[in-house]
Amino acid sequence: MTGMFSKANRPIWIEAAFVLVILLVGATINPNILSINYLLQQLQVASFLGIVAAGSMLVILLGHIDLSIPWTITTGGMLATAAADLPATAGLLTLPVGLGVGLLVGLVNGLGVCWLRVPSMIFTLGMNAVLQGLIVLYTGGFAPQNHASRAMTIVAVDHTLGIPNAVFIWAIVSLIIIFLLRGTQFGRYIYAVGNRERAAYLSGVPTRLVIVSCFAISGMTAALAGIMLTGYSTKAYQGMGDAYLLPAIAAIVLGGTNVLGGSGRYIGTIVGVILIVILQSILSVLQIPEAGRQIAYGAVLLGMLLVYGRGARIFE
Amino acid sequence: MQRPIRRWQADDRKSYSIIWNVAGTSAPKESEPGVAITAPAPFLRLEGISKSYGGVAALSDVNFGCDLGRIHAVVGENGAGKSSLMKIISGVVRPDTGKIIVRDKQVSFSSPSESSRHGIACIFQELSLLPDLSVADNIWITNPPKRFGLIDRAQQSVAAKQILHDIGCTDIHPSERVKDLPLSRQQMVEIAKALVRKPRLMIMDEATSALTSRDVEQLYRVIRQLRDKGLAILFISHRMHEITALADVCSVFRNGRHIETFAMSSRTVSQIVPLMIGRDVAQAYPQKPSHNLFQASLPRLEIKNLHWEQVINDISAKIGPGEILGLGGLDGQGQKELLLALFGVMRAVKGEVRIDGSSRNIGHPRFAKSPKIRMALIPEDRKTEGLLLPMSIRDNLVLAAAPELSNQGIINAARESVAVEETVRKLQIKVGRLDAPVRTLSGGNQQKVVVGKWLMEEPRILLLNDPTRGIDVGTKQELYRLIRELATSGISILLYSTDYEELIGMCDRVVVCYEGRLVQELGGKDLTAENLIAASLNLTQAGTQSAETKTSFKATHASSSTRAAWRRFWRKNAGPCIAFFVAALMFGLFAAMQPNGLNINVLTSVSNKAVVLALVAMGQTLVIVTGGFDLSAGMVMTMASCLASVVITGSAMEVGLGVCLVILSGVLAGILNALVIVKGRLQPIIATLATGAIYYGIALILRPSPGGDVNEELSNALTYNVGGFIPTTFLIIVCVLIFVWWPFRNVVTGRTCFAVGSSENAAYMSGLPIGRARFAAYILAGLLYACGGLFLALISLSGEASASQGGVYTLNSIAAVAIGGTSLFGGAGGMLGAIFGAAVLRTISDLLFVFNAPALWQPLFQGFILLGAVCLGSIRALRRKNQMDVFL
Repeated sequence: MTGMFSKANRPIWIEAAFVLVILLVGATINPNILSINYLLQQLQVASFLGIVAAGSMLVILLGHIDLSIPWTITTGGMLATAAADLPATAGLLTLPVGLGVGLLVGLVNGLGVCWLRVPSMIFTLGMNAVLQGLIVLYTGGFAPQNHASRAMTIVAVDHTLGIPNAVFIWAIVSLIIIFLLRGTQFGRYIYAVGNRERAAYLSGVPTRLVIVSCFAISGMTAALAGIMLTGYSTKAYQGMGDAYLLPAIAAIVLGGTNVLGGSGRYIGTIVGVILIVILQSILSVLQIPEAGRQIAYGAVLLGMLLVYGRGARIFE
Repeated sequence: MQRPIRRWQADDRKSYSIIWNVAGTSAPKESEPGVAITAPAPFLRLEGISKSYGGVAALSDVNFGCDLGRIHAVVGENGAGKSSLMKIISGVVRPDTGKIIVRDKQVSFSSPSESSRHGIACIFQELSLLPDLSVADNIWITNPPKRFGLIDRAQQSVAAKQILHDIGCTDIHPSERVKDLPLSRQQMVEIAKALVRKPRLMIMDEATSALTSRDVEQLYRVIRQLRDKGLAILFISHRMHEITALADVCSVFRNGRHIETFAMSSRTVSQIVPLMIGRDVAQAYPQKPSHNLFQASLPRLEIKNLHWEQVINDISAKIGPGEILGLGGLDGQGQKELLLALFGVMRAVKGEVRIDGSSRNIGHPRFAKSPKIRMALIPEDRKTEGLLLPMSIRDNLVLAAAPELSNQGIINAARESVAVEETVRKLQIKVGRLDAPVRTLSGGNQQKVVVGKWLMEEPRILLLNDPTRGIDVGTKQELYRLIRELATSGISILLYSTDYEELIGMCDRVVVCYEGRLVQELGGKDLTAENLIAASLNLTQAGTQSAETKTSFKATHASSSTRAAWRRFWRKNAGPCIAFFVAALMFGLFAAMQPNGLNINVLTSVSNKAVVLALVAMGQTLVIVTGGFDLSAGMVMTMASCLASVVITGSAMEVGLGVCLVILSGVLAGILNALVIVKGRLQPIIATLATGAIYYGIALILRPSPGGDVNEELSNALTYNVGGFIPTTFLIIVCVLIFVWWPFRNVVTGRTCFAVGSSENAAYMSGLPIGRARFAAYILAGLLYACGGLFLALISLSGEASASQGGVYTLNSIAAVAIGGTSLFGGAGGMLGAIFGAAVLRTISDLLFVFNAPALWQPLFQGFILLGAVCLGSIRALRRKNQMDVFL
């Protein structure tokens, strides 16, 4: 078996070390940063991004990409709130409706990609636009008046044993993904399709089913994140998903996943998410203006990638 | 300094023929092997070359030389070091130690382009062609005929035609896309491509493996002529009869060592083969069982009147349990399609397939391997169809048999390990660690993994598509023995091979394919080389002469008729054409609905609305063509517009300086992008994601809050119209097309961008300046984004650092490029399509407005139109009859 310090795990160790460095640097300026409360709060914030990244990582492993995430998050959040407000359901429909919307979006994405063979980048982009149109139509262009339901508050804000519930949900999602990728046939098929769909197909792998399933999971995780975000910010609003697409991709790639598909470990994505959240948080704790934060964020991303994300020279 | 070999020069231009006196009728005297006409002169010497990969020595202390005017064969088993040697000579890899001496001067090659500068051209086993480029572009990829510094495409096409004629490929049209050609034609293009470089040393690494026998004959003639003209030719082949027919000198390699070099006339094949494998080859093919063994029993596989798409025409055959049925004939007579159709890859197959007497409908390889059928296919190309090269040996081996080895889809590691180890032992696959990528194995061992993967499935029917192609003698023997053992154990085998001897040696019966029909069945005593070849050429029936000319490739492909030309045009330009029609239709509707008619003000407003997105999309096109995505496009545009809102103000002088500054900012952004992508070797999509954040940060510094004081005179000058009938912004776009896009397409650097996007490996192998091309693409793209930003500032007269605006422009620019028909996988496409795409995206809202669509519905319509436009081009995917066509 590959050792803990093997080459494949190098990005993850570098990443983890960098998280520590950021925390320590931050702590020298503001010692509160090392407090349990602050760290737990960061984990809670990270769980939203982490759940989004979990699903999109499967799609990236296939060699595809899901750009419909921003409005899947928003649609999930909005429709879940709407379902929660339906009379006589006692809010029981919140989660099923939200997740169902995500599933539906994912299925359409997957079918477009595997059946029509539209490049995923452009199909999911179109899907994003359609979702945006639907939501504009649904809300009438105004911010909806519905508030987050109790169920949403429970999953996003409440604590159990002093730990935010959102973190538990992230952990559950992560365990499922890890099991999928490492313990099942389906996981192996994902890597196979990501490496070369042609060879996978000729080995009898149901490649279409694999693609549709991964997009469906990606849609569901995005919608789940939307539901939790609604709970966290007490209401759903347009553009609530905009800040999640690119950081999720960045987190996945920082974790050593090949953006062209075929290789990558989920644990790297978790650390990548933490890295990005901590970095953003510390930059704002240090009261660096927005412009500086953006530049620092970009520079750190570039620097990290240059350290280990470099593609191999052809024929080395 | 090494003197470069004379290359393309003006006086060569009159005759593009590479073979000076080749004429079909007066075939030149073919000299006997071993007797060259010109006196040999040493060209290349290697001294003490060693190379190891990860501690495993591929070459150790090799001394080797080759002379001009000699055909020099290099033979040895796979893994003997031949390929490493060729890679070192051609500059693909650098040796660890040792000297390379070309014409008495020591040299060191760091890339294929350097070795090609010294007159070395290499035809690799893995084709180094660029699939999306035309045949002519491929042939003249490095040194095209030029006029005024631009590629002279007309001349290039004539020249390509001439060379193809010289090597006997009159059936290839120069403007055909390479990916539309069958493999054997591609290999001939590859050979033509090497020849036009007028090399002094030509390396052919298994260059004949996919050729038809007629091509091979023609090629022999060409090679001999080149030799007589004083070229040095290094020839690697596993086909001993080719070597005896061609080579003057032969070098044997074994285990990374140079064993011996001798004149070909001094040894026979039976003397050479033991040198290669270090042991005697007792018997080439295993013993066959008695012939009529299979007649009695119920056939395992029975095919009745199978038809598919004019390629398979009424094929019927039976295979009994334990029988090996050969599939013979010239290359491309429907044999491969027959195997794929049986395996469930083809759609709309007519006819009946019976397994053990009951009719089966197989629509997917998944069904083919289901328990009731248990069919396996060893595909043609192990690198792209058989294996997942970066994945481990273990993962590759269990891929097909996975469902049986798992518990309801959950991996059972213990059971898998047992099965994998058993297969490795049974097939004697030489592996170090089972977790090593399968890529690290030698060719023969890789092929064993492909076979082993399917044996773990315990198949009852085995379809073999040229299983020994490019495999060394030793492994071949093992595979032959294995195939016979499998047959003896009761498996029915259908074996397609391009090698007559193999069919004769291995098969119980052979059916011969000709134009998708089975023309003859040979078995027992009738199974001889003469009969096989006669049947392959369909000599038993009338029209014998046409047999050879009508090989796999339909004559229509090469025809220069108007219809064929249109078809070629449509294949290449369907996307932009569709985008143009959609844009024209929308614009027509829009114009028709104008209350005041189509006046210049309406035109100007439409043009101004689209110009920013069009410019950004044109920049994005350049990046996408190279196979990347620029996620920083919108941010560079935003940064430039913020800069413009700060600096484009004041006196005319200051305004002029400001415009230069804005454009410079785009160029600098392009340079930064190119630096991290080319020098930092980062994936473009992810590198630009990071640089985009930086550009946005800079935009925020320049303009912390929206506003600005843009010079109105400049704005008026550039956003109104010229002469009262052409919008200025439209004119600007046309200028970019003429002065940026057109030259870009027609210079070598620009064409290299297409090459890189089409296949980076092949571009590298062709010795193209990949880095320079990428730099050019990103810098030009940055410049165009900045122009877009400039116009945004001029139109809005202010600037705003908005992240969402930047993001929207980035995504819309990709959408515009896609709607315009440019392949998002790189290698093909153009700016014109991107302009139409931008026009479509930008006029949707106007169109909806004039049609009184409710305002709230507009975003939804926009989404549907975007989705619809991209799906339109993909509808064809649904009609594909070969399901493998959808994979890249």
